[in-house]
Amino acid sequence: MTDDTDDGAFDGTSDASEITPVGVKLGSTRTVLQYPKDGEIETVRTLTCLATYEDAITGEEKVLYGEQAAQEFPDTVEFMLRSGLPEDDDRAALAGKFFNELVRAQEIPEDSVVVYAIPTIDNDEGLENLTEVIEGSPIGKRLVRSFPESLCGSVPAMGDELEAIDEVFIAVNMGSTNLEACAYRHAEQLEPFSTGAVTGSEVDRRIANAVEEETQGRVNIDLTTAREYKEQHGDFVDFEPFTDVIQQPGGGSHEFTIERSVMDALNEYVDEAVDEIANNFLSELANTHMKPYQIALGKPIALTGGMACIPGIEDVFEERLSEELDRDITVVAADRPDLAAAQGAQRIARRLADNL
Amino acid sequence: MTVNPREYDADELRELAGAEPVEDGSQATSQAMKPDESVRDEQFRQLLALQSERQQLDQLSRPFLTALPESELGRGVREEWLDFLVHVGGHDRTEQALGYYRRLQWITPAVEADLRGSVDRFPEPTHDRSLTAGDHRLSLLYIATLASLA
Repeated sequence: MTDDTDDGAFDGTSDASEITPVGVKLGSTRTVLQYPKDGEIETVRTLTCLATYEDAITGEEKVLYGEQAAQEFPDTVEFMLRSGLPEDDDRAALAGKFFNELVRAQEIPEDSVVVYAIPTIDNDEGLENLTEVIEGSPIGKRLVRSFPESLCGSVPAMGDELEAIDEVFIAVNMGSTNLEACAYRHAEQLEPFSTGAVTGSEVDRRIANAVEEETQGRVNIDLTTAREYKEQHGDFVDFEPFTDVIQQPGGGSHEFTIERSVMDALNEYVDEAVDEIANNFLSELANTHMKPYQIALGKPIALTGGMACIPGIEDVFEERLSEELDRDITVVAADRPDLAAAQGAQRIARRLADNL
Repeated sequence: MTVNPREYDADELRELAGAEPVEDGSQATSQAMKPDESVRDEQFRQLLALQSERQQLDQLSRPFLTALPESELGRGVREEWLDFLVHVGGHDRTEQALGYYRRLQWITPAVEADLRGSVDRFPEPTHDRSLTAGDHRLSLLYIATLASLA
């Protein structure tokens, strides 16, 4: 599990110091929490997964979550928010168990204000299940609010405080299971758009297939390895071919070099994302809200989500979207697009706590 | 409790951010505004169609807008138009655009002078940019709307 402590914008304290303002992004791949601790902002970033096992001595059920669960129980670990929301009762129960374990481990006070960054997906059952998870959580006894992930993620991209709330702008969230876009007019949502056709997970699948092809069938990697290749080596500015080694079934090892598989999949992803945003989302926005469309396209587009962490993707997306629309577009992203939604949610939670 | 991210309270969020309340006229309680906007959208399409058929457009007498409407609705449309131009391009570009519309004979010099006098009432935007052909098309829509109200 990775713990970061960085948010230059705040000293981590809240005026209502006894109430803890917490920002939460329950993502399909990673969950991020931000809250003040000892005068600084604590960031917790962990895989959204859970594994259970029986204690050999006591017979009790033990629960592991995050990276530890993924590493120690790769065969049984469950990513319960694969589609972005808990699809059924079983996954809702698992998500509840995961979230409760996570907040207990961090010792987040119950007396807290919690803001959740939620993906804008048309799935009533999933939202109902997520409501149960949130209601069953031990934190947020003072207040709970939820806002669109793309709005929360845009907050740190567009300023040090809550400047995004009073702007007219477009947000694009590049997630692992969805590509979301929305125009915001002074905090109001216009034309929320979401597609499961262009996703970070699909990039992982393409990388896995391309690696097999590039190595003439000698190497098969799983999706976790493909995701790691993408996160560690994907780079639009300075990609360098890399080598890896696999153990052969009959003993010995095979070293191979990857030159094209990662960047081909990423280039394809950006092309498809530009196509969806320009020809589906923006054309619909232009039809229904011409004035906000014209205003928002003159402002920087806020790019958020895990896929926005690939170095240089911001510039490539800007260039290709400008070409597609035949006008100059600018794109901005937070310093850490993968943390941005929780960071924005925490800023909102902090204001809510101050106002209590 | 609902966690549906489509159902958040935008007013509460604006208040938290210390933003000015949005006036009812421009607020997008989206359900209420959509019919209006779709009417404008239809007008916009007609204008585009007209614009592509230059001859038809030229048959209309220029300048298109000879006087600004005095009705409340007319004043609202005029405010919205100037707000849009300043929001996108800032004060200087708005004034240049008004001069451009006068030279194209979309508006009379008197209308230009009247509109120029109101530009400073709108705050300079944080981000601005040059006005595009799309912005001018939208201006033509406002001019057509204002002419129909005069």
